[in-house]
Amino acid sequence: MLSFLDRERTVAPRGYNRWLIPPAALAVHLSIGEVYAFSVFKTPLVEHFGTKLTPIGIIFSIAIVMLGLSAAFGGRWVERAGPRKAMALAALCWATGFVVGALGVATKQLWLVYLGYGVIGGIGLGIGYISPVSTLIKWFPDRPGMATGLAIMGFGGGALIASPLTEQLLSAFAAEPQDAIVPTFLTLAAIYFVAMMAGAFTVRVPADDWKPEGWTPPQRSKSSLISAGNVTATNAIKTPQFWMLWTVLFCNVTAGIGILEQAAPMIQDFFSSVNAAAAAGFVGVLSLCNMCGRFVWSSTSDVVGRKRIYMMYLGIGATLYFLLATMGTASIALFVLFTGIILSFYGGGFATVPAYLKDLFGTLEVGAIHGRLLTAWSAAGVAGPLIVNGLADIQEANGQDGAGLYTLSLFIMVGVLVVGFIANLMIRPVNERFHEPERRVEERRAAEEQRFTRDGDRARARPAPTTTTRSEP
Amino acid sequence: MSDMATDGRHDGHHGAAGTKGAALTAMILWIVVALGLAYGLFNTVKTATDLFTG
Repeated sequence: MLSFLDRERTVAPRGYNRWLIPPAALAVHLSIGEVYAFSVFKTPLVEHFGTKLTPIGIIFSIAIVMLGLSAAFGGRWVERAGPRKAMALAALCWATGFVVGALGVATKQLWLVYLGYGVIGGIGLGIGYISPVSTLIKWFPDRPGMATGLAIMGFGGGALIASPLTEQLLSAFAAEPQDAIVPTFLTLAAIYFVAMMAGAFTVRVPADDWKPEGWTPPQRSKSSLISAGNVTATNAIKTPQFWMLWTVLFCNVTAGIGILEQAAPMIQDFFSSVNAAAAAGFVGVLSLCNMCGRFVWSSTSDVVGRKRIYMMYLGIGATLYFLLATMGTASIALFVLFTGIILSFYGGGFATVPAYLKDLFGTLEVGAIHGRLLTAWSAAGVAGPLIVNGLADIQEANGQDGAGLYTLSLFIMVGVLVVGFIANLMIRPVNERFHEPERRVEERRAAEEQRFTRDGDRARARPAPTTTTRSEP
Repeated sequence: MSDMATDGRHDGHHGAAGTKGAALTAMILWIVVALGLAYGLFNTVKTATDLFTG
């Protein structure tokens, strides 16, 4: 029964349309993207546990840290096990996280919520996040940025769906939101489990020798960043390119997450006329920009190149932060425009990075390398809010108020983005000594092929004549 | 440029039925995903109007 989840059972048959793959990835990413809407639960949880915001905020922090760790340590397993098994595991962890979290809420044991939503759910986040990425890159070698942008867009868009849905569930199950957390958690667990398992059922990997008809890999010049070889995850972290890209992602996420996390109070501090409902609308607009940036900018990177698009994210991003610090109070429309563009670059940075990795390190273990790179997200998830919140507290203690609370942190973000810009400029093609010998890559693929034939035959009990037929590349 | 896969290793009778099922699920998923995003977008636009109308 469980052999259904094996990688060998997911190889696409002849005639399978590659446009049937993105909804599988979107189903997973839209589900786990719920984590960005966790703030909806904050006040009900504070009321329910009779505690302060900080212990409740830890739930989200644990989930994000676990996302980075599980992506880093589970990346290689995801590559080996294939997307279906990984998506099914992610579905199980994500739904179990909600169920254990609900148990914690029902028994008023906050540590169970940490364990459930934070640890178990966080593992589901990490595995779910990376599971469709390398599969999509293999299906769309001609448009890797667009393909990963489409999937990762779901992670940004998850909050757009989860936020109103959660609010409606909380008000439907009980008169007071704090009394409706348990059934809401359980309902979300069921919805997301079904959606993610539908994605797992649908996903297919292309055969090793498959490529879009009529497509030939681009010719590479010596200065091109696009690698002709493949690098393993173990070797990738020994290259300066990996750590430069780690720095780029860290800087881009630190700058974006600082605004995202503090968006509602920030706009109210900048403009005293903005009420709570309008601030919530602002958060929604930022989520939309975050989501659209993932698809639009990542697709654009297929045309203009990865290095250039990151120069735009980081260079224009730094300029916009400077403008926010100096003239952010001029008008609400200008403030929304600047922060919206910054958030679209934040999302674009996430979505473009798998294609950047594919260019630098090849497709052999791109999922595992991506997983390791996501530790930059975990680090930035701590650094960004720490800079913005910490400096706002210090400024307040010094007698500042309104927009003045953020001026220093906005200037620091300019510096952070300049550091990222320089790191991106320093990225050069990976030295060939890190490339796996072609012979070893072929041997590895042949071994996988052999394993496929053996396990596939065993799974079906009776081999069909077409099972070993290979089409022309 | 074709969007079709060109490998036939799972084209047995059971594989063909499974593939049809997966393709149908994928098409339903496209619709579910589009509806979900439309729901999210509608609610976002509804709240975002407060930002500019006060």
